[in-house]
Amino acid sequence: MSAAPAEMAGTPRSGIGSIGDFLDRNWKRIVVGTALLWLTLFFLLPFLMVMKISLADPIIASPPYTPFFGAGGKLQATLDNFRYVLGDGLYAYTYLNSLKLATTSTILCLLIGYPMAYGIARAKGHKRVILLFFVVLPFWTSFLLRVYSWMGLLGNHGLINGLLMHFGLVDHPIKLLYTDFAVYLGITYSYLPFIILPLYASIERLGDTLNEAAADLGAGPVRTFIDITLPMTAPGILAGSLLVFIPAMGEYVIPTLLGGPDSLMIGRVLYDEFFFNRDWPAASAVAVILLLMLIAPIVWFQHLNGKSQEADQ
Amino acid sequence: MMHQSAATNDSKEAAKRTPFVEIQSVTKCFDDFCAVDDVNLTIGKGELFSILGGSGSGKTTLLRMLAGFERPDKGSILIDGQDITELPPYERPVNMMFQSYALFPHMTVTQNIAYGLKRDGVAKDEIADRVQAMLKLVQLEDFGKRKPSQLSGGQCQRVALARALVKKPKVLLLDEPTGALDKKLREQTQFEIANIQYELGITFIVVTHDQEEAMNMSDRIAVMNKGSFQQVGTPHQVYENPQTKYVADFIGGINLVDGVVKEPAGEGAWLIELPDFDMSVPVACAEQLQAGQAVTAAIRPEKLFVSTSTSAEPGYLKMPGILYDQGYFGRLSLFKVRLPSGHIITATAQNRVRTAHRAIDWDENVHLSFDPKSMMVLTK
Repeated sequence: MSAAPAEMAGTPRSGIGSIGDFLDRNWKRIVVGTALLWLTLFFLLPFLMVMKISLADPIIASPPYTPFFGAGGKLQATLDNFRYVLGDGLYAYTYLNSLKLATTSTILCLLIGYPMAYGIARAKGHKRVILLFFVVLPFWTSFLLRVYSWMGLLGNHGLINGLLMHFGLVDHPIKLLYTDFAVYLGITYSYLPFIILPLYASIERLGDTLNEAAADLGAGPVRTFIDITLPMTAPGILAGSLLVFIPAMGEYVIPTLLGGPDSLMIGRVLYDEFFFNRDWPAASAVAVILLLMLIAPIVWFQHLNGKSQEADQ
Repeated sequence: MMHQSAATNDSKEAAKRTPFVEIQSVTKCFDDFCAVDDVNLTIGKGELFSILGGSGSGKTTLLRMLAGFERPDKGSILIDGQDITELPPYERPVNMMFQSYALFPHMTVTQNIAYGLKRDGVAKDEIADRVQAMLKLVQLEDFGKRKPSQLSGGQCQRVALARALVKKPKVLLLDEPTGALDKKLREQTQFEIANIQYELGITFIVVTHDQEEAMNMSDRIAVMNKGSFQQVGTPHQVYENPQTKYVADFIGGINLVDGVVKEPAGEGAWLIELPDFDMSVPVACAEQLQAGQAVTAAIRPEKLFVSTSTSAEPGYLKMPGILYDQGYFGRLSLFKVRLPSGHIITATAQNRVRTAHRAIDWDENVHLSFDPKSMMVLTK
């Protein structure tokens, strides 16, 4: 034992040492590899399966679609489902309706979220912590429960109509629930925290000095906001908007619970296609097209981000 | 700083004596702490004025009040006769060069410099001309299309200067203008800033904690501590005739030693007894002193000479000591000498000849000598 330290230098490395060395040399690969493995297992592979189903024909069987490779290993792939989905005006209308709803909600979230994020970022010390806490607080209750609460508030015998009638402002209840208005309200309400947090981060990081420099050079508050604050917080605006826009596009629960029969959204159509019609291939085609529609803004965002990072170097 | 002496003219010097920036009884408190406490200051037109102080001295708060980012609780600020106390920053005839430069990262160098002119609604052609002239002044003609992130620290500093100067402000405020630069570039930049100031004739107010920066560039310096001015004067006055112990110590370092006034020594001089030096020294003092009054005598390290021999210049006072510690800075050597009283005194010497070894060894017996005229008396 006593001679061990002297021998250590000359002896080959122990097993533990070489694992340590392996980690030391490869930790970057391990970290990236873990993320890659995760995404492959839980995103890429399932997506490829959906993709595969979208190329099959529906049949009455279990599973309800034709296998990819038929008898004798013959490839059975068809674009019929895509032709059907893209050719049917109802789907096109639903896509556009979802797009309109997601866009409007994103803009509403931005208009409400930006001033809130700005106020929080400019708040002092522990006031800021408390305000941030309130932003995150709704997450502590179930999402479904919060949407149900809106049903209670918006219904014909709900709190809002009750108050309006109580004060004699209206004679009959206003139809609030099961309207597009309720869907906008629900989505804006539910996704607001997702836009506030990235906006807060980018405004807080901006600090005061650049605004002061603009003021010093003759720019009033509005001018300073347009010239400095907005462009400098653009990454936060983009990130927050995508965090609202993407889930809003495929939103299922809110339009189902708060929307009327005519607030057609792609999430609902997908659900119906899948569970009521049991047309898995068509449902898969709807999902694939939705994904392609969403990839476009993400790629654009990455492109912008890459450009601004390039400029920073 | 040495200006091109031939170009010095009387009208410029006269302008420096007429009040241009007037700070009148300005006070600014945060909660229960007064960062700036009843400050009065008058700065002349075309002066390069420095406010020198440590962190927490209130110098930055004072600068921010001049820029309009803070509003004084009391008092007023006038520039060229106009009361600007209540004006927002964007309506003041003042521009600021920020310590962090605060260049707009999403704009090119040209756009940064043009920004202030655009806000003033200056015509496009004129903006282009003036920006070009500024780029030339700060020697960045080829860098107009770059983003700030593609510039070095020194280049950013010059863009910040150009951006603040292009609007021809009545007063330019500079917050630690060379603080972020390395030492060599700092000295060069100080000369450049002073030369640009001299050429343009704009009043510069520099805030700095770096006494070399203040000494090197300024016409006058205000030494600030705990929210008020300790002394306002030329670099020479502040260094050779500090009025308080704080100023004496803050600027350049000094040996302070307790003394007692013994008796008048003729022509505004008093004989001061210094027990730690084991001697009495006749020291000139503009103040009226009383016999028996406790005072502080002060002498700069470079005005003390250390030698292993007992010989000294005629008229110099001498005292023995032991070399307690020493430091070698290349250009200078610093000696800490312990006197027989136990008092430790600091002296510096220029290393005027190349030597193979240190001239004096630790614990060696040495002799300190100084001209009694180099000593001063401080009562505050």
